[in-house]
Amino acid sequence: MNDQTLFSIFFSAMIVNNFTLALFLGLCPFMGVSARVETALRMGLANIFVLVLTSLSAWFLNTFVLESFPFLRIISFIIVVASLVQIVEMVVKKLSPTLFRQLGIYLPLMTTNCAIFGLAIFQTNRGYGFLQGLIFAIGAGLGLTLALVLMASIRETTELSSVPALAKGTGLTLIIAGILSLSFMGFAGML
Amino acid sequence: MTDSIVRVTASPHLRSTESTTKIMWSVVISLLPVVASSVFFFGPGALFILLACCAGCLLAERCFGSRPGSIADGSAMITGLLLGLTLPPGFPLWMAFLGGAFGMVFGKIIFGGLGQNIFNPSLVGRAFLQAAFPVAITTWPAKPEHWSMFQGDIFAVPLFSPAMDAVTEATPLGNLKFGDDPIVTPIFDLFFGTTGGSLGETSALLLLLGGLYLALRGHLNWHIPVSIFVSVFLFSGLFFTLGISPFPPLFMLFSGGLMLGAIYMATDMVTSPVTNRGCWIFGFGIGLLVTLIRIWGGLPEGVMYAILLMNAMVPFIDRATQPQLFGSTPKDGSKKEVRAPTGEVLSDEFPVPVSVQVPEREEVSTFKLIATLALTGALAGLLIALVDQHTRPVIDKYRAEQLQKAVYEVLPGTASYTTYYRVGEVLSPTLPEAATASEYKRVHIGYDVAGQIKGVAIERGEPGFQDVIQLIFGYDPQTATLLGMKVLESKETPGLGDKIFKDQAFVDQFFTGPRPPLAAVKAGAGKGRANEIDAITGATISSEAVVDIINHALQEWMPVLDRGIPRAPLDSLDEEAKR
Amino acid sequence: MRTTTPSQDFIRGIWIENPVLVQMLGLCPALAVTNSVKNALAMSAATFFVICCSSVLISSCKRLIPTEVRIAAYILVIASFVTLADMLLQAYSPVQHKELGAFIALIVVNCMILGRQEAFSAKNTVLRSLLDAAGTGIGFTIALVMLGGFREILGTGTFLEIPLFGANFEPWVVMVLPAGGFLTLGFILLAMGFFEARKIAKKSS
Repeated sequence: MNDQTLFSIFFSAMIVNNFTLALFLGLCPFMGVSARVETALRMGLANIFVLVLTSLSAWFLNTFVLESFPFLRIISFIIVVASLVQIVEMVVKKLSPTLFRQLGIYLPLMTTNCAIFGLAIFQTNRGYGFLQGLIFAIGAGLGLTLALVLMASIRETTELSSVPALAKGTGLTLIIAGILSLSFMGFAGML
Repeated sequence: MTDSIVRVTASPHLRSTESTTKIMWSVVISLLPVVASSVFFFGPGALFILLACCAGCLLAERCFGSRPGSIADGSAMITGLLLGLTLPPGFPLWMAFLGGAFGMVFGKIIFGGLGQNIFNPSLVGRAFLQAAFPVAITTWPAKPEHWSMFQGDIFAVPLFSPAMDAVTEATPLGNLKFGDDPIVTPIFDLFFGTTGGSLGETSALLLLLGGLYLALRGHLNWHIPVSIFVSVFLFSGLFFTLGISPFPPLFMLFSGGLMLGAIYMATDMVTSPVTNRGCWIFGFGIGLLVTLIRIWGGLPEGVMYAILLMNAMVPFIDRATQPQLFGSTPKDGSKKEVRAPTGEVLSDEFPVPVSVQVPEREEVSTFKLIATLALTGALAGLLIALVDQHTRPVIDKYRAEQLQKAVYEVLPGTASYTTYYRVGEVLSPTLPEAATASEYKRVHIGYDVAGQIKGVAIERGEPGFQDVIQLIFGYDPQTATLLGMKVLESKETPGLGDKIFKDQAFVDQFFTGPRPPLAAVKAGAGKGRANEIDAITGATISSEAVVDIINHALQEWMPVLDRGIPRAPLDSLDEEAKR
Repeated sequence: MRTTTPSQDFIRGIWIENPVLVQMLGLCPALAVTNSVKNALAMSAATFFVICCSSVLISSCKRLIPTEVRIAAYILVIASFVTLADMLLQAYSPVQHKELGAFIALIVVNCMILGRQEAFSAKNTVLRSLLDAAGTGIGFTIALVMLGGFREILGTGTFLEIPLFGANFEPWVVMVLPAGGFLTLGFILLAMGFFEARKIAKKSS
């Protein structure tokens, strides 16, 4: 059982130890997904959904199955994540084909999204209970969405700038990420 | 028919006398009183620091800047001046130079130069310096005996540590936030600048005058500073009245870098919103963040971070506050719908035909698919199980060894220990049927060779400055004193917070038998009471976290421990002792 | 038809198609564990182990795996080897394991490994798959050591924990913090772009 309060878990996951800007998880969509805020927002929301489901599944597995077979943890987690992403993909395709097209390759790529798998592993390592894990997932998801949206809106603006050729693309994105990470350090010590 | 009174030219026909260069230099002029005051208060060293920052900026612009005339237009100079004004007196020149260069390159040039950056370049430089040299940038040396002497070690050798002054002076913010006897510096001092602080922070009066000059010349959007002042006043007033903040609103307004930031940094035309409405949102956001960080954050000052974070939101704000263009689609989103033949609504940006056919492939039997996966899974599981048989004992042994080492370290003199779980309100050496160990909290009770209870070792983790600090400590219930402490896991700032386990003097304090509930006090300012722990200078939050963890753990376990601690189970006693 | 030679398969992954610096894959571990060279080497070693074993196994079984479930099968294989790496590291180098923490387990979602299986091992012989995997692994190591070296030298003044500049060196703490990771990789990419542009300019002049 972990001693942290729910609020501190939430605030830490979302802001102080933001999954993307402090823990380096979820970088593939962060670097590549968009210079469009709407797509970033929807990607973020899809992520939150999958994260919450992953947290629940991980807790379930940890409590009832993996006590006896702890070495199967990685395999079972990745199977769960892959299945969840598959399900979300099918749901999105049915409910909103436009969104499905907009998200493109990034939807199935959520399987290899470090953030989702990482959440399951962190939750296990820190010994979070059921509610703690849930709050952790929501906080992490919101933090991811925040980072994605900020990056998307900044990139929308820089697309029109005369960025020097050698910085165009990933170089500039990484520098922006670095400055964002520096800025978020202002929240350290708040808990 | 030669000298025509009609001149034919291309538009524009009315030219303003303004130019980027003029605006930039008027900003420099408005800053001159503040620069003069920094030299007045802090000596000639201040001028050197400002020059070092400007040198860094100008050199970076010269080497990497791509626009012609970009040096003469004064923008690099301003970036340097503003950065310098946020630095403490006595700041090493090489660091100031580095900050200027960094801010210029990564805050401006890389975005395409003037007019295209997202973040305020001076603040980017400062944020870099804050993260890179956290000790140097939060050291405010005391005023020297004579005005002309240089404070601090500004001429430190580049890349090498500056010599630290023995005597430092706290800033008004630092005093109120971290001081043992918090004092609210009088507003008079804050307004005229007779306090400690960074070079350009002290005189609110001169900053306001400079801002007024710029506003009257039309070079400053007054909406931004006004909205920041209003929101800081409102939010801090609210928290102060509710009693949860020690900072009175006027104090908040005039202390620290708020004046400098609100008037000169947030108003940077490139990195602030376009519309006035956007500026008010921007200003309120900054005000709220500054208040929150100052009251609850780990650092005494939050203006820099607040502005940088809101800079990041400016593209978003600009989108949201876009004025309505005549003739465009109505704001309520009732766009013209584009429908596919199948009736499904397509966005007008994706006119993809829906009737794309995928050629049929030969069906592979589902059985084969599942069988392959199942077989792979089974083989994988088998292999892992085999290796696990081999490695589990090694891992478990190591874990047990580490725990034992930790317990023996915090309970000096123990020869053996037993783990007890908290089942309900009592301690039990065994878990209930079919329970998982991770669901129950535990303590370790140490016994000496004779089977006497040495003390209780308790583990606990709570957030410190950066992330959770995990530690174990030893406690003697009979004498109600602490026996020892060991940090198990920490991600605190290297060089500062990580002293909670690297600084032997700090750790040793917990072995001298302090009496809980503990209180962290500033080093040297303690009153010699039995429950005092000297905090690490510069790592107050981390030190306080350690103290809090111990206090909270004891609060939680006292009811259970009071019921009595089990004696050593007979079979764990030494053979010798039994006889 | 495969038109590359075996040695090309090997060398390509080292620099020209470096997984981290050129293809931008595997960024999560690349940034997270490179605050010291030791950690970078440990992570690279674990990843090297996983990618080589996975490539060999998948290449040997490529005919047995139906296309529909190939991704799932690859993931299962990779996950198994990651578990093995995790267990072995925890048993025989527990201090290093604690340093790397959860990121060992995160090797399983390293796009680079899955990418190689999909793009190469599934279609080529065992030997060539091994060469391809080894080249990619070495490229990964080079990228990580570059990052780790840069960050450790500036951030703590040491290399592999050997102090380089004496006791009075003022370390740039930011380098071992997350922001430093982003900035370092960004800087390295900028430098690479700069040299690339110069090379092109020289060629065309």
